[in-house]
Amino acid sequence: MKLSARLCLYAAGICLGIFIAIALVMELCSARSESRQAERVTGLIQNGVVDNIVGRIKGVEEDVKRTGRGIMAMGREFTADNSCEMLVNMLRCDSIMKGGCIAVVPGTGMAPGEWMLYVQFKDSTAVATQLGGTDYGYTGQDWFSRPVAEGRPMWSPPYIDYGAGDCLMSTYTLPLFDSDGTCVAVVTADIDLSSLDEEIYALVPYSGAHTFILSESGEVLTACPDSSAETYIEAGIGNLPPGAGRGFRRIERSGTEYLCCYTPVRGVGLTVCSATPLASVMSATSVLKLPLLIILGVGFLALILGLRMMLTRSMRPLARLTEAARKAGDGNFDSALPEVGDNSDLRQLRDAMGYMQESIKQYIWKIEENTRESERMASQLDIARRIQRSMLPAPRAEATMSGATYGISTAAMQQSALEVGGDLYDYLHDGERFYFIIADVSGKGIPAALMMAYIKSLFHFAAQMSLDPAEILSRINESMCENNTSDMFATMLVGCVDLRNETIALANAGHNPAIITMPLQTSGDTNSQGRTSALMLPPGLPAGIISGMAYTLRTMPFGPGCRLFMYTDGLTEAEDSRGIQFGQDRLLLAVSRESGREASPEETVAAITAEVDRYCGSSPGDDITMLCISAHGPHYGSGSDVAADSRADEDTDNREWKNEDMDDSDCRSETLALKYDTAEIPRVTAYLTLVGTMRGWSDAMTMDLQLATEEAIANVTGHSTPKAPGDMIEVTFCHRKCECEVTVTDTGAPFNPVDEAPEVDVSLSAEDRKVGGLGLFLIRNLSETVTYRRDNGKNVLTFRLTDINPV
Amino acid sequence: MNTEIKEIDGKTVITVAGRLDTVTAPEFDKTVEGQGIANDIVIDCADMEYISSAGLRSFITLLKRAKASGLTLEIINLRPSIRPIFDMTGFSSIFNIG
Repeated sequence: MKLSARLCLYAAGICLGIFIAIALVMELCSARSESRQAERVTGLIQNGVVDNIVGRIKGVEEDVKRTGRGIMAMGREFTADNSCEMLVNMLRCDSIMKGGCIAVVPGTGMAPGEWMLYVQFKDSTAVATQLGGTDYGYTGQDWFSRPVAEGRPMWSPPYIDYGAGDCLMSTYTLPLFDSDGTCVAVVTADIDLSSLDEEIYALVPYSGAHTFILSESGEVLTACPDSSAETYIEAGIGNLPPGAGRGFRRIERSGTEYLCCYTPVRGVGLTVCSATPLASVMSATSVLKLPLLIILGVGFLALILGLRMMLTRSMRPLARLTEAARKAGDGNFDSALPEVGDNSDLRQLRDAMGYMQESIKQYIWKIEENTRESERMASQLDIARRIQRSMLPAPRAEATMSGATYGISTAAMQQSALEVGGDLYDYLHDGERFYFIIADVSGKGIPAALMMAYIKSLFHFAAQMSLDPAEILSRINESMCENNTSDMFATMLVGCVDLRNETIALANAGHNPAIITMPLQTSGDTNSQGRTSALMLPPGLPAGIISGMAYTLRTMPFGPGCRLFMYTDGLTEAEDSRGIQFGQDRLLLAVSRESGREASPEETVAAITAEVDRYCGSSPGDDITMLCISAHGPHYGSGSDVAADSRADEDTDNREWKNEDMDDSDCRSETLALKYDTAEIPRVTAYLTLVGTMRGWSDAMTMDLQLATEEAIANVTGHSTPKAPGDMIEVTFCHRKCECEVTVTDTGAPFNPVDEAPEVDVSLSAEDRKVGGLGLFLIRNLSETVTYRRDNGKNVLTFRLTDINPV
Repeated sequence: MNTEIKEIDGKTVITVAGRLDTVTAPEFDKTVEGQGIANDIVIDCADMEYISSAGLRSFITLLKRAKASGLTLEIINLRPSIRPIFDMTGFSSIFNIG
């Protein structure tokens, strides 16, 4: 619904409400004033009627009194005859008097005897009748006895005089007194109340009104129109209490409400009453109502139409503004806004819209600028990424010396968290030596990428000079320190495989330990199922921190079957959805598994990449780089027959071993390097839980293994100190399906736990039990075999546990 | 590892949850030593997943303290997977295992 229409509706509603309220108040007021007016009018008219009636009655009283005075003046001459004439004269005074009489009080001496003279007009002729004595004992009548007894004139209650033509009559009795104050006679006058009808007829204040006269006892004496008289009695008008003064009453009969007004006529005990239907009282107001309603209705319609027109005209600019806003919404910000005239509210709205249009134009312009800039940056970053990619060598490489069978193959993988990254791997083959580097520059993004490019060129430059890895590291460190204004540093591992004598030389600048797999030597032949462990190199500070650092070179054999797996910390620090890192031990297990199944470096890298991706469930947050180098000799890659033969030989040599392991032939060996600290024990526990799950060991086996290993490590940390400060406890686990052999090697003082440990007597009571020796006792009891040897200045304790109830 | 000590029905109930090994046993000793022994002791092992010799030593130390005060020590709710360790070391006969 449009706003203007809605406003009109609201306004109309409010006006209608006000009109109705006013009309109701007016109706109420006018009804009250009408009713008051009616009461006043009726009262006035009744007053007039009553005055007339009273006037006539007073006249009658005067006439009677005059006659009385005349009679008393006669004194002793008073007889029935002369009094007749006086009565006739009295009756002639007013036609209302239909008859009159003189009655003497017997025994008073004014006129002897007991008699009364009654004069009556019949057809304008006076007829006198003398009554008295035994035929009419008037002294007992109320009209005579009460005034005489009370000594004052009195009006009788109205009565029907059947003898005088069924008229409604009332009699006035005046007692006459002699000079002694003794009542000697009475004079009476009978008046015909129906002669008052004409007065009553005058009392018709409204059409439809009824008027009537009530007696003192409430009877309707005369009414106009006659027919309705009884109904008023029925309706309760007759219940008016005698002697009540002027009064008004509302009564209801047959659904019609009447306004009744009473006025008493003093002296005669009459009450004049009129009953007017309220409808006729109010008819004046009702006549006024219709035109009033019509005027109101027309005014109301005019108001709505005017309002509607005014609102529509005021809203017209709003519609134009809406149209303009819609245009702006479609992107047309240059369209002019409509003029809105003097309407200040709308003008403000229009100005605000104009301001908004301008602002949006500005923002869009800025966003377009930024987008262009971002696109330019993105394209530059893309170029940078491609340049960086092209700086990395091919992921796969092979290096052999011409004519030799020994060679190495490598595989690498790199993925960056951002477009460009700070990880680096590289290698250089100069015919006899194969140099390689893996580095992780602190930070990410473009600064790290620039530093990475710098390190790569430094590495190439130094490697081309045939320096050893420690020298190369030193050179890189010096160059990085020289111009390092941004406090960047890099951890790196530089190595060199000498293809002539099958050795590897490594130097470490704070990089995470590489994982090395050495083949197990069996009967002079090599076995690719070797021992995998973290390669603990002498630590060194990352390059780029302090100049003048000397790095330690470590050289070791790197014969066929050996493999070295290097990585940056993005790999071990990759987190799963719960925030738990992939970790070094999990990586050790994975590399060991891949070495065990003789996977090529390429397959190893691919398998571990897949495993980390699965572990994280999403792309890792850091750069990840892996570099895997494996050496191969005469029996590797020189023909599958040879390899198969070699394995066939092993089968015959170690039949018992292989038979046990037929369904799950791979025997794997991992080495954890631990500090001389019991705090390392949870690491071993976690590792064994992992291996146990992988191998399907029973919970009892895993627990026993954890227990025995813990006791062995606790024994070393509790009883010996390392020979050199940086020495580690090496714990090697050689595990198969239902079996695990644990070798714990430490550099502490010689101690043979198998022979030298105190015996534990399990039958002793608590008081006699020693607290020591329990750990070694447990190892001996949990293991199938326990051996100890002192080898090359190290304690080597080996024990083997078997799972009797594998899952 | 988690150790809780409560007084229930006039007995000191020590609840051990998790692994009681070389790393955590000193923690257990510290918690228990802080408690003066005035009542018979009950060790509730319902949630103890693992015990090594260090844990066994803690238990026997506690047993000796209790006996010195003329009190008893009972081990209850021992898991079946851990029971063999107690049997192997002869602890089953030293301790009253409920």
